[in-house]
Amino acid sequence: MMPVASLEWFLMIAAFLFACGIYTILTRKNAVSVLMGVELVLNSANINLVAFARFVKPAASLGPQSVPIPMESGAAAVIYGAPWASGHVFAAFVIILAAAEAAVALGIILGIYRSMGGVDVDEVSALKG
Amino acid sequence: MQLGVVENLSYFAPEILLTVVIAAVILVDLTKPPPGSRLVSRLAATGLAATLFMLILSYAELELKQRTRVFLFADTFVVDPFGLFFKTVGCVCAFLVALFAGNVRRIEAHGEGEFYALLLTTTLGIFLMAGATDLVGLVVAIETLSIPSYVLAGFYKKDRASSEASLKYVLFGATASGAMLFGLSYFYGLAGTTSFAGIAQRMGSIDALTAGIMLGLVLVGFGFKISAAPFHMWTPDVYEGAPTAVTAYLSTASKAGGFAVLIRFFYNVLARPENPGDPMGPWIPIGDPGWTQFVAVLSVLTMTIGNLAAYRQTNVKRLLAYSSIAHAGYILLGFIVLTGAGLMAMLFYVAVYVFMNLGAFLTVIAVSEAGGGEELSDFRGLGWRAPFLGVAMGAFLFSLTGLPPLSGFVGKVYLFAALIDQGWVWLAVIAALNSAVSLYYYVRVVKTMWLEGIPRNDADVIPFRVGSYNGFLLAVCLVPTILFGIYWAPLERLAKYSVGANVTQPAPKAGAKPVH
Repeated sequence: MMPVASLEWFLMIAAFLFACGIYTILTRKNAVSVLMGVELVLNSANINLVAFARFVKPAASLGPQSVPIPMESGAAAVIYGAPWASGHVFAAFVIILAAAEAAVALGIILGIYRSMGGVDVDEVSALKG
Repeated sequence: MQLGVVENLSYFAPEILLTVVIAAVILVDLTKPPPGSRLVSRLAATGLAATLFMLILSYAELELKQRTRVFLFADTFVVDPFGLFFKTVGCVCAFLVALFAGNVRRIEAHGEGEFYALLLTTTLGIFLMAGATDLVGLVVAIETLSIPSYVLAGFYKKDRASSEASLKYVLFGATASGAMLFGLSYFYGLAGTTSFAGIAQRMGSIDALTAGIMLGLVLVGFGFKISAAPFHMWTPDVYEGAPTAVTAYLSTASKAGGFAVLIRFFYNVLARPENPGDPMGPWIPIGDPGWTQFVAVLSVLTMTIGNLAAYRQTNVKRLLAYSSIAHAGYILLGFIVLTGAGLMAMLFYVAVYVFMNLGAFLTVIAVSEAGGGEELSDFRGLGWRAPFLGVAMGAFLFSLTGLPPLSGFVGKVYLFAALIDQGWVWLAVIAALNSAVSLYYYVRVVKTMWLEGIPRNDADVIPFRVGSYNGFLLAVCLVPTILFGIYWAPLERLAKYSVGANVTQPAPKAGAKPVH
């Protein structure tokens, strides 16, 4: 019998990845390495999102649009479209944002490299208070 | 009220117009308008003025149709007076900054088209932040504000300080939004839905530790945006290195956007009005109430660190950067009392703060454009050489301190009153002590301008001309700073009206269709 991966496994992997990312950000001196740490953090969030989308049933079950769905508390909320997909959609948006952020950050790092001849975060310290 | 797509779009008109203006700015810049024509900056300012007009129309439309709020795009975006208030604040800031920047030679030399396209995109981000009621929309909106801001901070490409500011901003910002996203992914996992209303229904069922971790991670992102301690480290460097017009924008509009999402998120997901029909009354936290204490500590840290560090600054931009950190701490005071009055005080303070802070930064721009510098020593005796500039800067700084009869005083009175009303006396005392400390460094600037380098007789005065354009803009910032200190009732009414409709999901009756 194959062991079935449960939600906890995914969450642990994601938390581990998040910790690695934060560790990278805090310890690396090279701006590009720091950026790689940021990518790890963003992707740990993506693992969480997709895992939750697979395992967590939404607060209300699927229903036709605009029809209120009774909740445990007796309150009502309207859920549109396919709520199980919102985690995937969220993750897709995060991937796009990560790409945009990386593009801008790399552009800035390139500019710094051209004007200062290096991208060591510690050496970029003209401003101090 | 559920609307069809076309009617949806009519409520989204300000955002659509802004998007059209962004495209127009890029296209007009491509036609290479003759240098010195200022075509692009005028187009951007006109576009922002038109957007402001559309926002007023949105207010009117809500009033005329007697709706408190309208949900758009499958409940992921809301148009309500609360969001409109922050959109208006953001739009006014962007408009004034566009006017400031229109007179800065260095920005023109670096490419006006890029500058205004990026500036307007950040404004669009603030608009989306103010209306987001869904995690996906919230994240996209925050990044729409953040990513162009990183570029704007480094707009002077060859300038070391500016490049460094943008590097620090992007690294801090990306880390903060990464941590925030990680926290938000747990919120999604909790409820299985990305809507604030759906999450609020599950918040009560989790234990304090889990909620604390989730909130802590999310607060990293929001705290970064409003530069609250301990996520403020980027602020002084970025504010000092970035072009002054950008600094003025980051310290006002960007911060207002941060407060908009902070209030919207916490007061929809983690608190609800005690009496559902009365958001002006007390609110009760959903689940564990510990977050108010936690934010109270953040607020104290923020204002104390900001004020103590501002104390020994010699660069005026850097001094104002620390002062803006301290002000984030003051504004947070209204956040933790969990009453409508506290929220009203926050909104009021944000509105008066943007004018006095924009005015202070505009003075710095005017001085450096007229041949002065940004160091405190460059301001010596400036009051005598440019009296209007000196008086205006004095008014902005005294208003930031919170001295009557200026608008900052009224704002602080509302904040402190809301605190004391809910029994947070110790916090009010700390805040008042902080205000007293801040008097020292604000007065130091005024003293440098008026009491140092005093000319012996009138003939010795070398006039310092700031130009009629910058003088006019100074007056534009000065009028609300003084006016709201004397006659603040309209602003108070507007803030109250905005808070009155901040609930995105009125408590629905069992089995009933939600009434929006």
